[in-house]
Amino acid sequence: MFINQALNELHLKIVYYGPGLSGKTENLNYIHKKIDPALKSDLMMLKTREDRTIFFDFIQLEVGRINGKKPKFNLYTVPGQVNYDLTRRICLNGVDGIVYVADSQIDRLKADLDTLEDLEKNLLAYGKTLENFPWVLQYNKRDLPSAAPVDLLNSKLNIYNVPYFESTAITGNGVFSTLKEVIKLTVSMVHERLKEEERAGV
Amino acid sequence: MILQNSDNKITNSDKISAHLSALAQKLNISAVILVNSAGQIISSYTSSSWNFNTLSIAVLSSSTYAAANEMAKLISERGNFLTVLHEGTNYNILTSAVSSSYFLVVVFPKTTTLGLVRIFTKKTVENLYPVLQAENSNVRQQQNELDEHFQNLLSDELDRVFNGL
Repeated sequence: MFINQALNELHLKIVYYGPGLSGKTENLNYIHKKIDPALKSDLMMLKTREDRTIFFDFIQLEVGRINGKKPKFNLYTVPGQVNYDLTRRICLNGVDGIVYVADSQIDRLKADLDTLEDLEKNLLAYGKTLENFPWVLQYNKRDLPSAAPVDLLNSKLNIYNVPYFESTAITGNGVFSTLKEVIKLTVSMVHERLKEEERAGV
Repeated sequence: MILQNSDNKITNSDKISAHLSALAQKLNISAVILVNSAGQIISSYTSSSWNFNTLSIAVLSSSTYAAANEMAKLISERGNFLTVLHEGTNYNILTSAVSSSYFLVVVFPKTTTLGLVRIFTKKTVENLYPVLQAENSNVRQQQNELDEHFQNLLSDELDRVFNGL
């Protein structure tokens, strides 16, 4: 989180993380399509010829001033393909909150689990752990017949009992409720952490 | 020159702005952007003819600089690369580390001498470092304003903006 004192802006970096083709870019696409043009930047997409994310996607959203401060949310995706491990780590630099976009299809459960492990490892590189970090789970592709039951996904992936959402990003179902929750959780946890640091005299 | 507020109090933001504009005006520089490691713009100075997307350049610079530093690790460099240079046919972009959390992006036309840009950018980086250290402690105080009242207002505002989407 960064506060620009000169402009009285509050900046949050939210990263959409998850296995390849789970729907991270689709979340940003839907947000970009629906949000008021006055409240968003261009959608930046760095893609391969095959239309896969090679580095990241990015969009900045803003809302009205609150207590004089203008909140701005910088939303990023990561490339989901296994080979782009280092690129995913780079995208986590300075991250404030994470949306883990899991693919609900039963045959993608292993990929969901592997990428969650990869996230934990990459967060550790910045001295953070999933246990004490603001993140939410989004079970995407709920419209597909091969989608696993949410109870099963929760028992495997939701190891820290974080908020979770069912979604179909391509139609927008669950996209904004996920975004709202991760923003609220992030601000709340940053505030708590700072209070603790203050008490400890850090 | 250091700019002052109307009450004559010089803030760290003023000092940062003054250092960026001094660099830009000393040489023919199109844009000077101070960015943090998360890709967020701390401060920027752009010339009157600048018509590019400053936010996108900040976001991309942050990521390419981070990528360069991962390459530094792969070849066993000690620490980060101090500068990264992109050379084009019309413009060059010089990215220089201020600290582990901040870097300076300088966009300048090919007609401006690279050597001079390097020298004056290095001096600006040295000047910015202590100001950013002081700024960090001030920001921590402001972050404590994110209390429950703020969080409730933010929740209401998100409901308003996301309503029906």
